[in-house]
Amino acid sequence: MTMLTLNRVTRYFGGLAAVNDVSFEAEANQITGLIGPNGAGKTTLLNLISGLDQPASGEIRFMDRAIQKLPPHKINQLGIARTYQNIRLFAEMSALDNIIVGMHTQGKAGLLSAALSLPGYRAEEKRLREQALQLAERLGLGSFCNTPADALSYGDQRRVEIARALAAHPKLLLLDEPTAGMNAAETARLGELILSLRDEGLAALVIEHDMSFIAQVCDHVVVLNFGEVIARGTVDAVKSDPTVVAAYLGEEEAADA
Amino acid sequence: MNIFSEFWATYGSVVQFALINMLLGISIYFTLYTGLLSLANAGFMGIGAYVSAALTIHAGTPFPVSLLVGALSAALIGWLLGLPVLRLRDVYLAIATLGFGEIVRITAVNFDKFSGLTLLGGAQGLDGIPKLTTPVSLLFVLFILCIFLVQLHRSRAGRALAAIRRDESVAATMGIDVYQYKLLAFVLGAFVAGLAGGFSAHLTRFVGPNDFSFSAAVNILAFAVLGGTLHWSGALVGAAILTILPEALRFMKEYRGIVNGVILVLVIIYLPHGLVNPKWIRGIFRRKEAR
Amino acid sequence: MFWQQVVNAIWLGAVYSLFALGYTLVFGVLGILNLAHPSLYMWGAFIGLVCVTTLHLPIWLALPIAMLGSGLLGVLLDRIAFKPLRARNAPHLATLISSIGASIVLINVAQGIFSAQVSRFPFDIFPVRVLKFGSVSVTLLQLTILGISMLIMIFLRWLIMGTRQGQAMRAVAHNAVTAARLGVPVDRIIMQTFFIAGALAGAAGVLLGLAFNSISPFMGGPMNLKGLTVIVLGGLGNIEGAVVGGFILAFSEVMSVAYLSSDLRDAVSFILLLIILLVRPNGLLGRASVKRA
Ligand SMILES: Nc1ncnc2c1ncn2[C@@H]1O[C@H](COP(=O)(O)OP(=O)(O)OP(=O)(O)O)[C@@H](O)[C@H]1O
Ligand SMILES: [Mg+2]
Repeated sequence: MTMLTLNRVTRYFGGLAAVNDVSFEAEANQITGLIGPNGAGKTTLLNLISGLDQPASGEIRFMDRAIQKLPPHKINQLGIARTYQNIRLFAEMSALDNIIVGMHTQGKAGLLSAALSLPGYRAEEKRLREQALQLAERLGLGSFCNTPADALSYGDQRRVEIARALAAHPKLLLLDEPTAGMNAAETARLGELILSLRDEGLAALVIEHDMSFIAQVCDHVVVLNFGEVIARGTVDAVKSDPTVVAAYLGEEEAADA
Repeated sequence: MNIFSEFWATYGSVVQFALINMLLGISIYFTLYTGLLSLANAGFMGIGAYVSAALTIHAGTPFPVSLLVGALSAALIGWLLGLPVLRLRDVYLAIATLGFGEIVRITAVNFDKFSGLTLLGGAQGLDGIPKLTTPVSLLFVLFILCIFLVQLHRSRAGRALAAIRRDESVAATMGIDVYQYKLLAFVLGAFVAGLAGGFSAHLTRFVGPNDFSFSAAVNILAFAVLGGTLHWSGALVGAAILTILPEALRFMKEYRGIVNGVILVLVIIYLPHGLVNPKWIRGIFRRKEAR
Repeated sequence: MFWQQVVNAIWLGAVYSLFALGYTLVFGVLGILNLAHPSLYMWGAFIGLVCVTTLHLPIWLALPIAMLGSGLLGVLLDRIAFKPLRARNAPHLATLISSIGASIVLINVAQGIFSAQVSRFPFDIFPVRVLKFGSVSVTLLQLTILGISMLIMIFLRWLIMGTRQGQAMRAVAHNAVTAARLGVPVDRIIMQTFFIAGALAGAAGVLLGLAFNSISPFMGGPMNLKGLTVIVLGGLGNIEGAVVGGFILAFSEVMSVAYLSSDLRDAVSFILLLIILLVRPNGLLGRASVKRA
C-alpha cells in the first residue's frame, strides 16, 4: 500500500529550483531512503512534506489525502512526525519533558480539568508520563530522563529527537540525517531500532549520507541531485546506477578541486 | 494602636497596589511566556476598569459581578483583537498592540459624546467609585491565580505554550496548533489585566482615560521582565520590587520613570532570564524531596 | 478648501517621511525595531530649542547642531542598549524591550532637564510670511520645511545608493556575517547607520517643533504611532516606502480631520496601521529594499 505520494512537487528559492518536479512514493511498512549530494534538496523536501514549507506546484498525498496546503500541526495530527538535521530540541527542558511535549496529540485534557486537577487529567498525565518513560527506555535514554536536553551528547540529543517524534505515534516518520554525530555502535543500534519499528508497522523516510546505514535499514531508495530524482530502486540497484555514481563522483571532484 | 494597624495605616495602600501590580505582571507573563511581546495589557486593564466601575456606579451590581464582567469584557476584546494580530510575527505583533491603549483612551474620551449616554465620564473620567477592593479579596484572587498557574504549567496547554516560545515551527510539527495557543495566552492575559483594572478602579475610586497609556504598558512590562518570564513567580517578585522600592527610597519615586527604563535595559542585557530562574526553584524542591 | 488640504498634507507628509526614514533605515540595516527612535526626535527638538533660546543661535545653525546631537545620541543608544544584545545574538523580544527601556530613560531625562511643560520657540525665530496662490495659502515656514525635508531625503538617497558607505550599509543589511568576511567594517557601518537615523529624527523634531511650536518630552509618543504606521505602510526597512508612507499618512490625517471629525485624527494612524498589518504586512511596496537594492 502506498502511504505517501509526491506528484511533480516543485519548490523554488529565488531562481534556484531546490526541489524540481519530484515524484515518488513511500510504501507503508517500508523504510524509504532519501539520498543525494549536499544541497540536493533533501531537507527542503522534508520541509514540504511536514508542512513547514509549501510547494510552488505539485501535490503531496498522505494516505489518500492531499496535504500540501495543510498547516504543520494538521499534518502531524494525520500521522507524520519528523526530526531535524540541525537538532532542534527545547534546550533547557529535560529529555523527558521534550518527549512529553511530543505527546501533545496523545492527550486531550482541557485547561479546565487541568486547573481543577480533575481525575481525568491526572490519569492522563500519568499515562503520558509512563509512555514517555517507556519510549525513553526503548531509545536507551533511561538514565538521562531528567537531564536538560542541551547538556546531552550529540548522539543522545538525536535520540531524544527521535523519541519526541515517535511520541506522537506517527504512521510515517521523517528522519533528517539521524546518525550524524553518532558513533558506530550508536548507529548500529539505531538501525536495529528503525527495523523493529518497521516490523511494528511504522513507515519511515530517512535522509542519510551513511551508505552502510542506508543499506542496513532501507527497503527502497530515492536519489536526489540538484532537486531532481535521478534514480530509485533497491539499495544495490541504485548503488551501481551510473548516473548516481556520476553525481557523487561529480561532488568528490568538486571537493578535490 | 498596635504595630500592625500602624503599619497598615501607612503602608496598606502600597501593599494593595503591589498586589494589583502582581496581577498585571501575571497578565503580561502569559504572553511573554509564550514568546509574544504584546503591549496591549494596559488597554485591557483600562477596559476592565471602565466596565466594572460603570457597572458598580450605574447598575449597582455587587463587586464580584462588576469585577468578573469587567475581566470578561477585556477577555472578549482581547479575543477580537487577537484573532487578527496573532497571525503576525514578533515585531509586527508588538507594533499592532502598541497603539491599543491609545484606542482605549480615544474610545473612553469619546464614548459618551457619540452614544449620548453618561457612562464613562469623557475626558474627566469616572470618579466616586465606591472603595470595594480589600486586601483579602486581592489575596484571594491572587492565590487562585497562582494555583491556576501551577496547574497550567503541569498541563498539556502549559507545555504547548512553553514549546511555542522556544521554537514555534518545531512546536507546530508536533501537532500543536500554535495560533490557537497564542490566542489562549493572549486572552488569559487580557482577562487577568481586566481583573487588575477592576480592582484598581475600586481602590483608587477613579478611572481616567489617560491611565492606560504607553507608559502604563511599559510599567507592566517592567514587572515581568525584572522578575523573569521563565517562571510565573517572577512576575510577582518583579511587581513587588517595583512597587515597594520607590516607596522605600524617595529618590526612586522621583525618578521612577528612569529607574524603570534603566531596569528594562540592564535586566535584558545582563540578566536575560530575570531575577527568578526556574532552575533555582527546581533545585529547592529537589532538595526538599531528597530530605 | 480641498487644495488647501492637499498643500497641508504635502509639507506634513514630508516631515513624517523624514522621521520615518531613520526608523526604517535602522530596521533595514540591522533588523532592529528601535522604539526609542521617537525619543531621538524629541531630543532633536530640545537641542534645537536650547541652541535658539539659551545660546541665541540662528535657526539655520540650530538645525544642523540638533541633527548632530541627536545623531550622536543615536550612536550612544546603540552602544548601550543594542550592541551587547547583538553580541550574544539575543532574540527580537529582547531588543524590543531594551529599546522601550531606553526610550523611557530618554523621555524621563528630558523631563528632568526641561520640565514636563510644553516649550516653544520664540515667535520671531522665523519670519511670518503667508504666500497666496489663488485660494490656497502657504506660509514661508511650511515651504522651507518642505524644501529642507526634500533636500535631506535626496541627500540620503545619494548616500545610500551612490556612495561606498551606502554600498557597505546595503551589504550589512543583506548579511552582516558575509559583509564582515568581505572586509566591510560592520561595527563602523552600524554606528553610521544609527548616526544617520538619529540625525534624521532630530531634523524632523526641529522642523515639526517649529511648525506646531510645541515641544515637550512627550512629543515622541503620538509620533511613534505615526512613524510605525508610515514604515509599515512602506514595508519595514524600505526607504522609498517610508517616503510614500509618510505622504499617505499625512493625506489620510488631513482629510479625515477636514471631512470627518478631528476626534478621529489620533485614531486614523492606528486604524491604518492595523489594516495594513493585516492585509499587506510587507507594506504597499512589498519587501525590504535596503536589502534588495
Ligand atoms: N530557505 C532557503 N532559502 C534559500 N535557499 C535555500 C533555502 N533552503 C535551502 N536552500 C537552498 O536549496 C538547496 C537545497 O537545500 P537543502 O537544504 O534542501 O539540501 P540538502 O539536500 O538537505 O543538503 P544537505 O545534505 O547539505 O543537508 C540548496 O542549494 C540550499 O542552498
Ligand atoms: Mg539537509
